Amino acid sequence: MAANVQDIDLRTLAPRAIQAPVKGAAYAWNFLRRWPVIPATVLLTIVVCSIFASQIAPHSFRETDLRFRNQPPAWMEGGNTQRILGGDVVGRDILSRLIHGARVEMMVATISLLGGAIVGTALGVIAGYYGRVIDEIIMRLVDIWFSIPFILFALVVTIAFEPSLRVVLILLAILAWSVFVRNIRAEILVLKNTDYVAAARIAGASTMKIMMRHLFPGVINTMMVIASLRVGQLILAEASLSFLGAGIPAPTPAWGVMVSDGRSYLDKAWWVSTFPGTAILLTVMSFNFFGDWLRDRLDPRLRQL
Amino acid sequence: MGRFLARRAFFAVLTVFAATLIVFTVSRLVGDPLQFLIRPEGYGISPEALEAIGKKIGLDRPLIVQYLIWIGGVLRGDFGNTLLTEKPVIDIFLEKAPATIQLSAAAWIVATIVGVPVGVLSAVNRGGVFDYIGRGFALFGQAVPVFWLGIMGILIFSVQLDWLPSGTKGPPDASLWETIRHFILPSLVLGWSGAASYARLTRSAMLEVLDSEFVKMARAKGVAGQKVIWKHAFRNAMIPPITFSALLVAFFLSGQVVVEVVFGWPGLGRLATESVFQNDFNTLSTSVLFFAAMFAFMSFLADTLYAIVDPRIRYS
Repeated sequence: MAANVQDIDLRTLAPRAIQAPVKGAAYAWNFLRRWPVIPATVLLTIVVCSIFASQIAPHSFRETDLRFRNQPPAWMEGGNTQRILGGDVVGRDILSRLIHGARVEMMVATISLLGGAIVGTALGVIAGYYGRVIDEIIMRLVDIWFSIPFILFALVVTIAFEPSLRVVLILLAILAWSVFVRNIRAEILVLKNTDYVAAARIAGASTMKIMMRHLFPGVINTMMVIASLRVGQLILAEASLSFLGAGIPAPTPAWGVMVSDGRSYLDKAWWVSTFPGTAILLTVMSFNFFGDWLRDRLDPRLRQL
Repeated sequence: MGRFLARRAFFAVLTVFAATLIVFTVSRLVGDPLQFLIRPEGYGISPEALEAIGKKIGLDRPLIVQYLIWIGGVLRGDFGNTLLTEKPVIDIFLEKAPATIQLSAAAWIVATIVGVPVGVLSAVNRGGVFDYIGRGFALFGQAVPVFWLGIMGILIFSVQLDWLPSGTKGPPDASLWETIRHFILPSLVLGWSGAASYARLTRSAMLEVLDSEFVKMARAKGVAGQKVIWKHAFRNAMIPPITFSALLVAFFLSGQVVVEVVFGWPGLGRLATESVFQNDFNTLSTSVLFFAAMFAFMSFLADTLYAIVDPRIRYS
C-alpha cells in the first residue's frame, strides 16, 4: 500500500487499454485482440480474388483435362504444380475454381445484402413511423415470411424460373430483408418520439423528409451492424442452395456446387469437397467475426443479436 | 395475459395459412404438373385423356379456387394424393415424420446439453482459456456450412476411421445401440449450429447477470463462488436460452433438409425436396403446412414461455 497519493502508480488504475504500451509478443497479441486483423486479411484476399480472378487464377475455371482427373494436391504423392490444390472430377483446377468462386460469394455479399438492407430498412422506418394499420400489415408480413421454410421456398422458386445467378441473388435479398424490419422498427419507435423529430414536424417538414433526413440517419449504425452479422448467413444459404442443385448453375464455380461435386468421390479424392468447404467456412467466420467487432464498436446494445 | 395469448394464437394460425398460400401459388407457377405424369410410362396418352386427368385433380380451375379446395380438404383431414403414385399424402407423410422428429429431438438434446454449459463456462472464465475455446466453438458452429460438416463427418468417421455408419437411419429392427450409432453423426452435425447459438446467448446473458447488483451483493456477503454462479446468476440468465430452445425445435425441423440429403435420412426434409423436383404439389404443400405450423406453434410457445419465466414482462 502506498503511503502517499504521489506514490501510487496511476497507470495501474487505468483501464488496460491505456496502460503503457507493451512490447513484443504481448503487444502483438493485444493488437490482434483489439483489431480484426485476421478476418480483415481473409476478406481482403477474397475481395482481391473476386475482382482480379482472371488475372490471379493460374488456369481456366472451366477447362477440363482428364489427365488431372481427381489429381491430388501438389504436396501429396502423385500431385504436381499444375494443380496446386488438386484437380476435380473432370480435371479442372480446384484453386482456379476457388478464386473464381470468390466472385459469386462477393456478389451475394454485396448485391443481395444491399437489396435486403434497403428494402428491410425502408419497411422498418415506414412501419415504425406510421404505426397502426400499416405497422400491423408490415409486421404480419414479416411473421409470415419467418414461418416459411426458406430452403423449400427457394427450391420451388429456382425451379419455377430456371436456376440462374439473378434468381439466386433476388432470393437471397428476399431472405435478408426481414431481420432488418424488426430491429429498425424498434429503433424508430424510440426515435420518432424524440424532441428533434417533433421540432421538425412543427417546422413543417414533410413526412418523407422526416423519414429520410431525421429518422434514417439515426438507424444507419443499426443497419450496418445487422448487415454485417447477416452476411454470413446469406453466404451459407447460397452455399446450401448450390449444394442442393438449385443455386447457381454450371459452369459458374460456386463453392457450394464444388462441395457437392466431390461428394461421390470422398473415398478417392477428399480434396475436391474439402477445400471449397474450408473456403466457405473461413469466409463466413471472417464476416461473423468482423460483424461482432463492428457491433461492439457501433452499437453494444445489439448484443443479443 | 389471456388476451395477449389469444391474439398471438389467432395471428399464428393466420400466418400458417398465408405461408401455405404463398408456397402453393409459387409451386403452381412451376409449370404443368401433368408433364410429370406423362414422363414415366404414358407415351401414348392422348391430349383428351390428359385434360380429363387435369379436370379430375382440378387443374383447370383458377388458382385461388384450387387453393380453397385444397385447404378445405386439409380442414377435413384430406391432404390429397401424391401425383405419381396416387397414394394419400398423409400416409407417406406419417411414414416419414418419425425419422425427422427423432433426428430433431436428438439434435436438440445435443445442442442444449453442449451449448448451455459452454456458454456458462465461457462467461465465468471471461477472457480466460475456456472463454476462447467456447467462443471458438460458437464461431465455428455458426460459420460452418452444415452440408460440408456432414460430408467431413462422413469422410473422417465413416470412410477413414470406419467408426460410425453413415446414410439411412438403419434397419427398423436394429438393436438400440446400432440405432444410436446411426443417430450420432447426423445429430451432432445438425446440433452444432444450435449449440453455437445457445453458447453465445447464454454467454451474453450470463455476463449481464454476473455484472448485476444482486450478484455483487451475494458475492460481497460471502456466498460461495459456485453457488453464486449456479443459484443466483444462472437461474436468471436462463430466460433467453429457454425461449430460444422452443424456436430451435422449429429451426431443426425445417433446417434439416440439407442434413437429410447428405445422410440419406428417410425423413420429411428429403420428401419435401423430392416433391419439389417432381412437382408433386400436394406433398409439397403438406410439407410446407407442417413446417410453417411447427414454426408458428413454437414461436407461440416461446412467447408464452417468456411470459411465464419472466414475470416482469407485461404484455399489453
